[in-house]
Amino acid sequence: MRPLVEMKGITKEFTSVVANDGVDFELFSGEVHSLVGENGAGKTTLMRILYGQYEPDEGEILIDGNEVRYNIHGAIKHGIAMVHQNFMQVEELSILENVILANMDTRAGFILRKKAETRVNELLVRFGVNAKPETIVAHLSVGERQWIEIIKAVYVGARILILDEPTAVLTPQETDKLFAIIAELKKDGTSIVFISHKLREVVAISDRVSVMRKGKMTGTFDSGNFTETDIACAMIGKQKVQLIQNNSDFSIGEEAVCEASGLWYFDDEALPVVRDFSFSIHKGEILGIGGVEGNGQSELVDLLFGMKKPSGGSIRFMGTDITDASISECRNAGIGIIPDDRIRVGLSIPSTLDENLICGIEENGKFNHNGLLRLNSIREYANELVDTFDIRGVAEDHQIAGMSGGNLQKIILAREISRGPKLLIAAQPTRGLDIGAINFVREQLLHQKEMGTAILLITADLEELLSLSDRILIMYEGGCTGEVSDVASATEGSLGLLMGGIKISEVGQGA
Amino acid sequence: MNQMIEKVRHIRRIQYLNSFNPIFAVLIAFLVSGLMVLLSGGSPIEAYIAIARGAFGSMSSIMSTIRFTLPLLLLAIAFTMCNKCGYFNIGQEGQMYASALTITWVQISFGNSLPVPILFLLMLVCGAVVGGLVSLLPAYLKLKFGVNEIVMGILLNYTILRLSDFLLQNTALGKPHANTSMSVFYIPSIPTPVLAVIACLIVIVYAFIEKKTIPGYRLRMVGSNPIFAQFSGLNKTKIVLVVAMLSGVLASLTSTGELVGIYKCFYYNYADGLGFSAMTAALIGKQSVVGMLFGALLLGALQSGAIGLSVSASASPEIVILVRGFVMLFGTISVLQYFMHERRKTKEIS
Repeated sequence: MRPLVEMKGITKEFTSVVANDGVDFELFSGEVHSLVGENGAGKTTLMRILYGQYEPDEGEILIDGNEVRYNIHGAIKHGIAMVHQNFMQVEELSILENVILANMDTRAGFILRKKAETRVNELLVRFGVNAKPETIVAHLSVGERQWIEIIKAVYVGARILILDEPTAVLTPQETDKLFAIIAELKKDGTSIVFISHKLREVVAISDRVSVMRKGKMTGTFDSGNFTETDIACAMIGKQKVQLIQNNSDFSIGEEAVCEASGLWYFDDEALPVVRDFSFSIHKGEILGIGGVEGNGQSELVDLLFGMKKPSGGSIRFMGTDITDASISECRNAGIGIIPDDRIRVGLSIPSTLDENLICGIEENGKFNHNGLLRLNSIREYANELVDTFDIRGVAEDHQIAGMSGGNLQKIILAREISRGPKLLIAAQPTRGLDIGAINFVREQLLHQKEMGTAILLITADLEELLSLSDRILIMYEGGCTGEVSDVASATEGSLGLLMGGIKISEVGQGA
Repeated sequence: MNQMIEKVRHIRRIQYLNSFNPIFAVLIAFLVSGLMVLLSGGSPIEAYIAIARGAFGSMSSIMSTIRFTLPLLLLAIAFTMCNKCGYFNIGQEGQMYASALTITWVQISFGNSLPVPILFLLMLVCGAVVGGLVSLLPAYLKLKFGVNEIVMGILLNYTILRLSDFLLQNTALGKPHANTSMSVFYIPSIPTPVLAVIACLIVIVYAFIEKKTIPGYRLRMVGSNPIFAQFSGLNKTKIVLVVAMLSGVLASLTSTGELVGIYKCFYYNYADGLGFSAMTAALIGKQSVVGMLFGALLLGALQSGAIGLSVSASASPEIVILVRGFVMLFGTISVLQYFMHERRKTKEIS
């Protein structure tokens, strides 16, 4: 059988980074073909080339056996649609307007609205989206917006649908629903490329799996011929690597390090982003806060270290009230933070390593002599941390621009941990890192736990939540849907229900 | 790992190329302006020779170049320190007029009753306070309410300029029926070389503070990533406000120098375009101290050369404004990078 799409010897370079290096890829009609690999392996680049968004430097693309060259508009004509990781939607417009944006039926310059509305409504019903065509997209949840993206693709009559990490923003239940839709589309003869790095999902739905690593295709597995382990090995190019787990028996202290009670926060539009959220965290405890991203987690973090002021409730830290304390007061009291956005918040990329490390403690006598910077001892201090935290790729002049994500994260860890925090807030600490770096971060967090630091772990990764936490709280729409204190018997499924807003009383512990 | 080293090298290469950009911007500006002169029937070479002679031809022309360079240098520093912490201080002319009004008022109120040194000191202090406050206003409104400081700054410039016109014409501050202040400042003038030394000292002190001290460090951190600085516990609001105020003080010092040292009176619109020229100097200096020194010197020489040009007949002195405009235009776009097609390749890597 002839493949629907053949990509041969695709090479794409960005300024000196080779994103795709002689990649071959085939897609048959009516198959679900998964594309897996670590971040930066070149999956998205390859698919953006297929989608016509990038032009390959070398190589050719054959559709139905004919060599073709096209841009995005051409791709739509060839029946190729892509659902991006970051949705391409106009938030202020309605579902209908978003769906027909790329493909409008018009007569004499007028949109045939009635006809479009009927079709969009049909699709909404078929995909089980509980919304009307005229609903404004901004009012939808992240999961619902995902369906709209897929409806958009089906509406233009795509026969090749590329899904770029579609499950990253979904609860497990929503993911199941997505898989049902994929199966249905497959039945209609649509070919689907599924980009992911969640191996379980890949194994569950794929007919074939292609693995990419550092811009190269390292293997394609045929249906029924693969297990999670095979794929994982091909992904990291090593024999089995285990992620570090929290199985230390270090006792958790009685003493509460931080207590928040009844926290409320209203955003600029007066919507409650954090609602009546309470928790207490003890010495040497890892308290995991799970939930689909965007359910108030980042606002909660901002409240805890003074970046935002709570609209209601109080926060006590080591026995003193810090509800109205400033950022520097909170940090000086012993709160360390690993922020979720390391480029925008966690570091100053144009500055040097030294400048990044001492920010906020520059008045310390070690670095400060009557208002003058002690440049030499600052440099020494930085070199010490580079050694302790195994930060690699540091340039001669200590500029940090161009360093990899893993090493940038190590700089943040070095800065926060070296200050000896009593409470360490770690928000998405391993996001976007490769396995080596993930293990390094996990090791450091567990080491801090041993030292008696209380760690508030905010993560959207269920595996991480279950492997590291001593206790778990799930956030949904700003509130807490449940506490899981018996982490060992909890499953991703039961957490998933909590993440979808179903209260713990309805789920039952560890169900 | 190799990819990473390559990437770092690439970034360094672009930084290196960028450091030459101002020189190219200036060269292209001269070329394009020369072309304009040629098209309008003049001789660009002759014009440029006349400018060079006007700027550096004799001892007095060198003094005149220094005289025009100094205010530009001070204002460029004032602009740069604000820019470094994310506040685009475009209101320097307004700050200068406001402090000029204050100085004139001090002169008229106390000129006859106070000894000269105390009077001069009083002028400096009062001018500085008002200049600082005027600079503080847009910065405060920006931080408090998110007002656009550029729009606000430009509008304040006009408002204060017109206000000074009104006050000079209608109150005792000005001569009757003329928009010039009636007072003549009789403070002994300071020789230009001494002024040059003082200005150089200010530059060195500024460079030292920025590079080697804790306040300078904070300023740089707020400038390079304000969110990170805030996240680390620096008080961004306070830092920006203090810097904005100091910048206004520097603008007012410049104003005092111009009024007391050069014009000996306050005439309407005396600082026309000075703020923008200083911004150009800061831009082509890439906000580095040495760069600004050269930038200010270039623009100062052009201004001083324009006087030489008006004597010779071959081209009109407006060519200087032309060159200045093109320097600003080409200075803001990365000419070199564009020509090397680096731009297209530096797209986001995903």
